[in-house]
Amino acid sequence: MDYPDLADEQLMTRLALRDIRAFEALYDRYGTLVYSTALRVVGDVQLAEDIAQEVFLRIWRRPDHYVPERGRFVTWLLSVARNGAVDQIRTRGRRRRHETAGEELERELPGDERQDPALMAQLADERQKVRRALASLPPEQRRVIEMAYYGGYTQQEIAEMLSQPLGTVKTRIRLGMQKLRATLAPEIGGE
Amino acid sequence: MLEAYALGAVPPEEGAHIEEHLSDCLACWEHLSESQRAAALLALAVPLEEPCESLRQRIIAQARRESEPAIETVPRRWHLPRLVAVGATAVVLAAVGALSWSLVETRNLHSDYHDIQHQATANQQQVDLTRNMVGLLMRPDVERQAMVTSGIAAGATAYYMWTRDGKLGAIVCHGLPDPPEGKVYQVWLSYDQGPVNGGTFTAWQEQSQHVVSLQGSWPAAVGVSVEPQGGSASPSGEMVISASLSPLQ
Repeated sequence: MDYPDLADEQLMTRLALRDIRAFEALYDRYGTLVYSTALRVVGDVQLAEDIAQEVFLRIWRRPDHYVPERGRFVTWLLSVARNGAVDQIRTRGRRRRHETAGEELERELPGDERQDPALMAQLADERQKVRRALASLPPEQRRVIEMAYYGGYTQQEIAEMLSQPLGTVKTRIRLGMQKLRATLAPEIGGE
Repeated sequence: MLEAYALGAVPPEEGAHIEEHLSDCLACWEHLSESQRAAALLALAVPLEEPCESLRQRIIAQARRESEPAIETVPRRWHLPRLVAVGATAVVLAAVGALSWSLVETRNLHSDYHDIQHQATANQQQVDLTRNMVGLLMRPDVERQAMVTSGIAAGATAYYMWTRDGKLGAIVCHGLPDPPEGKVYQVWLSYDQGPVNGGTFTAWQEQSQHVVSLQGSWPAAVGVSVEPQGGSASPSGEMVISASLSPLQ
């Protein structure tokens, strides 16, 4: 069996069978994304590694937590990583500097001969679309969305940090998310 | 507010209010679902950083270590006779509840037949759950009552909904943590003859819904305990979520 060619859901089914090769394939496919998501939130290499390890061991221990009917595996996995990272910074009171999309380095998923090129190309394409959608938002809307999602801040905290009325922050989040939903409708519909 | 909720930018108490509203509003539920899918895509936009190779080695090694005891501790009654032709040693079937996949544990016998069979079962369970939840929410005669939480569920909010014809009930939880390793949440319905098993469920990202069949009558109380995987014949742990139900007028 050629594991890199298997769909995520097929690998997860094999995970329930305690198939370590399926687990390795999932890590090879998404290890960088999970680690990068955690690092984006916590800004600490060691802590991001710990979070990535916990995320992958969690799906190894409880593959039944993923329910395909609720969405794609990759977005579920990254949500688990993001939520785990936010929990960590809330617990530790650690905050990192919040970059905007324009400040970040443009890097793409590393070429990996172990992975299906078509799948990796699809992921790269999706990443590009999401980045463009974020970059197309008015800066003030993008900033509050990034602070909420990548920083784990509540609306109230964002309002205090930006010295803006809470109502202004709420409006920016609402309008920004509505635009994101519209721009990313094909990707959302494909969930 | 739903957009902020999808981003995780509302405090828990506000989240609980939103959750309560969602149970009555399918339109908001759909709106939130789209917003959550949009929010989930944001993680794809992070700048990529390569983790060190040793992280892969650590994770795989830990997974290997954890997999060994899981196979050795399989109860004997679940073992199948050795199949010489395929060298299989054991097959374990574990039902993990209406919200969960059905899992099959085996060391060597990884047949596609079992994959398909169990996927089909899990899919059907999910379809049934969704159908029952939607059916329940659409009913004009739904009653609702807040439930008391304690122990592992102390930080969660939960309420129980049921139809006045006594056919369907549902427990909806917010902020409910995963049960401990090897455990599930199990629902108990208290009738005159004693507690009746209402099925098992797990948490999913700290949210959970579980639908129970009331067999035409409403129980005096509903409770949830933490039980071993697969559920118990009778409650063996404390009720971490519970509610006494008033007789209908």
